Amino acid sequence: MKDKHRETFKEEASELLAELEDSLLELERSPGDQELMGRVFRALHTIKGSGAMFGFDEIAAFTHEVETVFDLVRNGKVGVTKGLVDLSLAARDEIKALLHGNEPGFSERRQEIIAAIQELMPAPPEGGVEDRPAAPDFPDPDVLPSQELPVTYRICFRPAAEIFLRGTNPLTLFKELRELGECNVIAHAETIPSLAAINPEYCYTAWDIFLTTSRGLDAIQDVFIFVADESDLTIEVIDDGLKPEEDSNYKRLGEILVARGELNPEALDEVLNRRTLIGEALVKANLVNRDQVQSALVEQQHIRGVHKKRHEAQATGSIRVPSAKLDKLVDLVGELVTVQARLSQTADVLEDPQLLSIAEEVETLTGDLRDNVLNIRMLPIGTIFTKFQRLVRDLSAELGREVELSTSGAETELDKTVLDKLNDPLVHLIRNSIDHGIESPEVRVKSGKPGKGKLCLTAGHSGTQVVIRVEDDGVGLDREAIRAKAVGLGWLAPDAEIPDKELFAFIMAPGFSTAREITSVSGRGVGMDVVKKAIEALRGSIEINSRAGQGTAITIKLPLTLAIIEGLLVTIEDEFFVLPLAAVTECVELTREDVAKAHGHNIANVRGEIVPYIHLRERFQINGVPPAIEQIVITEMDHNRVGFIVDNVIGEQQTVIKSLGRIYQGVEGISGATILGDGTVALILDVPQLMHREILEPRAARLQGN
Amino acid sequence: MGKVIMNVDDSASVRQMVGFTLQQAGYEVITAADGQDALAKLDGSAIHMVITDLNMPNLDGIGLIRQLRANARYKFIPIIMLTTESQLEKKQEGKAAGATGWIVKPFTPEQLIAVVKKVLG
Amino acid sequence: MEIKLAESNVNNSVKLEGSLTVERAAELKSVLVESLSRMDRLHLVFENVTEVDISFLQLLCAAHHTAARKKKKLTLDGHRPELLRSAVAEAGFVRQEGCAIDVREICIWKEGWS
Repeated sequence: MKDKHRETFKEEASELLAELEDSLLELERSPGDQELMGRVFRALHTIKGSGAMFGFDEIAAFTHEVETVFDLVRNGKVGVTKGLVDLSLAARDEIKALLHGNEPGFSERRQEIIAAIQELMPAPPEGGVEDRPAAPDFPDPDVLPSQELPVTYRICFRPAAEIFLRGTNPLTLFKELRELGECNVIAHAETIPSLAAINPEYCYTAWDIFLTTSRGLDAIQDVFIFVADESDLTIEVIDDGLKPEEDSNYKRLGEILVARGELNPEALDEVLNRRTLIGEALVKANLVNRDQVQSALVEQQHIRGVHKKRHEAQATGSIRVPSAKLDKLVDLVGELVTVQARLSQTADVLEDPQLLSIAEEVETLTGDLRDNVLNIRMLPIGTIFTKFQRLVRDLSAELGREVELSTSGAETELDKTVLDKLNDPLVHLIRNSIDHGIESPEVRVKSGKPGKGKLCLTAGHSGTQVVIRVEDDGVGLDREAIRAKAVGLGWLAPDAEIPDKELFAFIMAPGFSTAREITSVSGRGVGMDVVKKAIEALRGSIEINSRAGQGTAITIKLPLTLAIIEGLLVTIEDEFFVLPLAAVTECVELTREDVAKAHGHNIANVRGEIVPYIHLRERFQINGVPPAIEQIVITEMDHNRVGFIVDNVIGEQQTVIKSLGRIYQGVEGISGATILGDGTVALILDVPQLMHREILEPRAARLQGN
Repeated sequence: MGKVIMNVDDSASVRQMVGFTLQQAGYEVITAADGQDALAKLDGSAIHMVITDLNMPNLDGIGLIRQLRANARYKFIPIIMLTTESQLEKKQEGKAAGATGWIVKPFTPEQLIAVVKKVLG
Repeated sequence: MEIKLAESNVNNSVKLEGSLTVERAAELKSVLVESLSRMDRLHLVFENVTEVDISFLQLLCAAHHTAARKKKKLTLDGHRPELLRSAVAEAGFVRQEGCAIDVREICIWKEGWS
């Protein structure tokens, strides 16, 4: 492209040189003709300016010398003589030669012409500034932003009243500033006159702008380059990015106003003594106006935000430790929690006031220590989100889809062990969405959707759980196909009415698949059942929502951490068991009469609702005689309510999970163990697994048998 | 809808380069060879911005800027002048006449687009 | 770039449409002056706003102060076009504590902008 411009320039320059020759010859005949002088100057000026534009640097540099003398000629400072015309014509021939690529580089002839021309010129004034090769006014856009610390500036900008009349829109300046970094703009509108007095084409507003950027002062000055001359512009550093955190509250409002010189310190002290809201009081006392208070408030908030971010950055950037060390630390804290529980129990028994107070203190400290240690292992989920951008890009290319992945809540933190195990299920869900959910662009456009599909990954907290959603705006689940398949498998009676959520849950059952074709993406053997199992192994739950033609959302709920859970401690004979409290909805009594009424079925009537139950004493083959009144602990998962029969419910218990040794790892119904205050071991029940094995699968089998 | 930019320059090669660069960036371009040509072509039509050379025959850049600012229709549009480094005085004069900003010749297409974005937002 | 001003005298409201920028600032000013001289309560409604700049925000401020001083009431319709909202936010006109002239209770920049 540049070559084309160069060719155009050559043609143009040839014409200009011809015109130059004519004009010079004419000028010799009528040396006082202003019009002719202007024409010569313009021809030279254009050759120089355009030459420089298209890379004819030698032409530009040489022509500059001749142009300079003709600038003086047209201003009457140098007279037109035969000598000048001769030199100019000679120069013209040199330019022509250069244009055709002859004699590039150093030329004695050109040096002579330049020297002779300079002799015609009056001595330059002291420190002649005009001709110095000025640095370009604009920074090269390729220059990389410096890797400096983010510095916070206070920019006070009071433009000239006529700024609009010079074609400047301050909003575009603010937009540019926002591109440099975090920016807060606050207008001083107190100078806006009344409606009768206002000139609507003038600017009366001034601004305070708080900007945090690592691009440096020059970048800010460049934003204001066109308006700096006629504006009041001051740029001050208010936070250099280095100050330690001793002052995370930043200045108080009054101090900001004093530091800016808008308020004197004595007046501040006096108002402070009156002990009301400082901003309010200062305005009432007519010391500052509301805009100034507002601006100081914004400054305070801005700087606090900067400090907070810096604090976070330091927190994440400080130290690297192998995660095995952290795991060990978590183990030790677990032991400590156990010992502490024993200490508290012993102190209770001994009733020694001194011991009791020590035990209490240890309990508080242990709690803090536990929370802090667990916190160390928390990582933002964004660390795995970022990997998915690439995955989505590659998959959509492979499958001929157009997909835009958006993520939110990347800062949501999860225990590292949870995060590690979450990767595969999420990858699978994303694959499903792109392969089965989001349609090809043609199909989408036909059904009135934008060709580009949307895939959203969101994470957030909900109580003690983390909620992760994978949502697409694709075709949605085929309700009827799932239903037909479920009926075909005998999992559902043909006329059964079933809520969508439960129907969709079938696709997560083992051996269920409705994919009509097997593609390289989905045909990899892992199905939704594997996803579900993985999530349940993390003691989480998964739920599917979908609307035909509109998309599918899969919601995963996970506990914050795997190491310590809130549990419900129960006993059967002298064995202790723990149920995760998150799964428990209530406890009710089960009397002998209740059992008799059920005619041998393991079901209880809880306020009119039939709830199946699992007799844990039988399940774990514990000898002995159950008490006359047993307890049912009712749990709920995936909208299924199942009861667990135990002898006694003892109460809630902070449970440090110990994994079972390798030998016991395969034991069904038990997910781990914990050590109680007195050193006894309690087994942690695997509620979802028990529920499936004992209730849901037999139920499905019965349906199939029918 | 692409914004319309008028480029006024007596150098055909600069007009070509500016016009090409702006069109590549999605702007609509109207060109004029000097101030008078520009005024003739501007008659009442909607223009979002003007980029003008200063040294031109018939009506120069400064004269053009003054005339545009006196016309209610173009009173507030951004006007960028093309100057050379030896024209610092001209720059002041142009600003006084109502120019929004300037670009120093020689400039690259990237610099041109940066300035256009700066004033058009 | 078209501006339309429609008003209905029935409910004291004036409708502002199109481009609310400095090109039309003189015209907008006269509309506000005229309306405020005629009405004790002026309700501004925005429709099909295509552009907003600082000059218009200044006019609103000026009109509001003038109305307050004359014990008249100037209100902005609750439906505020995104363009107007973003101009108010980007130009830093939003206020937590009311504006400079002590009209804390009724400052137009106080609520409904974010």
